[in-house]
Amino acid sequence: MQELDAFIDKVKHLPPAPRVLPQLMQLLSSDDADATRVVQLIQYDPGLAANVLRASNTTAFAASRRVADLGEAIFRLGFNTVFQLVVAVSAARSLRPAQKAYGMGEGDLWQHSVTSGVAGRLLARMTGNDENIAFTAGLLHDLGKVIIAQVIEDNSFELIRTLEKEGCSLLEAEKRVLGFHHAELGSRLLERWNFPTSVAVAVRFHHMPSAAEPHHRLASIVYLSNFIAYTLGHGYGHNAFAFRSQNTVFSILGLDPKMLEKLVVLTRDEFETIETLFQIKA
Amino acid sequence: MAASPSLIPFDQRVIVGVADMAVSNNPNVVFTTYSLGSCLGISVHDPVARVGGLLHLMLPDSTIDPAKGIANPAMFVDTAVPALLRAAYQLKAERCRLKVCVAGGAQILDDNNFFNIGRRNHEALLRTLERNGLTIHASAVGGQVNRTMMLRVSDGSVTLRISGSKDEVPLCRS
Repeated sequence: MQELDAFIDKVKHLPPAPRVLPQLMQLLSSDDADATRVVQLIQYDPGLAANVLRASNTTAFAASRRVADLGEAIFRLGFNTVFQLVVAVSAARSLRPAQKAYGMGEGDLWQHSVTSGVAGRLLARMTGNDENIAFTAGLLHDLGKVIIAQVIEDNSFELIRTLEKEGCSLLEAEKRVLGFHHAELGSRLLERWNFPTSVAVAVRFHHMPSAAEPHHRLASIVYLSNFIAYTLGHGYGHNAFAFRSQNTVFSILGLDPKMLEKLVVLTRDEFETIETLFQIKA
Repeated sequence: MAASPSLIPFDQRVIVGVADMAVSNNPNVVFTTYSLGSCLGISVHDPVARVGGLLHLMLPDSTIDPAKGIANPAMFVDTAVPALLRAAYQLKAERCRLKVCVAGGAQILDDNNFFNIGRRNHEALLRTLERNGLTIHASAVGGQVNRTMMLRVSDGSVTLRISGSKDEVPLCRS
């Protein structure tokens, strides 16, 4: 952990901590969540407030009259959508830029992350898990790549050289070159930002979900979401498919492996219906 | 009547999206499709009729969602390949002259897993082409990379760009 903290502390432009998010997660998981308290939380962040208002006026939610009041916007969108929007707005600034070390252009990691979040939400709904937590974990699962890409931009091909020479996974290549991998690093950052343990653990083990007990179901959702996003062609980098298969995710989630292709189609449909919602203005 | 001004030939670049296809007999057209991971890019070209088409399909079999196969045939091997061929034949391409090239079908590591959609796509493609009396002229399939595929309608040349490499490599020369 010291090694991870030392690496994180070395980064000059650390993504801004999403202060509102852990508080909002806590609020929405409590029984007395009401719109007034959600408004109180987000009204002082102009970026969040503007995006919530904009989303409430998109085609999917728009009524005849434009909404200009935050409380009404939250009422129209619903708590779940507001929450997912706040997660997305908070993460957009970090995930949008190009991550050259991984061969990702501007917007690539963002698109991969949003698609993973949407797939996570869908899988959570199907398997009786918390949609908001699954969306958050799916969206943030590659946060560690943002940190690594800032440090190793200059020798960006070292990871790929290692990976191709050794025939190993990206995770194994990172471990050899850096001593740790992006899943560990992202997870540590989420811990430092006071995210729920379940999200941090699922992110840490999103390439080996069976080791994530007691959060192995959430980690399995994130593993599958990551795979589905790649299958949809959303946000590739170099050697995007260089990761190990984890057949156990299906038994952990109680899903038939034959469902996989159907899940790809369902995620694509869901992504298309909410695409405009997540066209976030930074 | 004044003569039409002569036009300097230019490349008309057409992007083919995921689960989409396009066919043309305009020699200026260069088709490009990005983000071929486990998806397959399939090009067809008839050098005599000068007809070319490019398809970017996602999944092997429309029986998982027959309605989707009808609404969006370019998504599945079994609906996409016949649709691509029909479109090419409508522009006077002939089966005996068609050159078929294939790229994509990436796989995650480890064989024998539930996630081998890339391989299942490729196997389904071979079966479908065989049923249609076609063989593959050139292919670059598998691995863990993502590919960009380009087809020039004028001469049928196909080039690939693999993520991580700056160069375009020929898959099929004119």
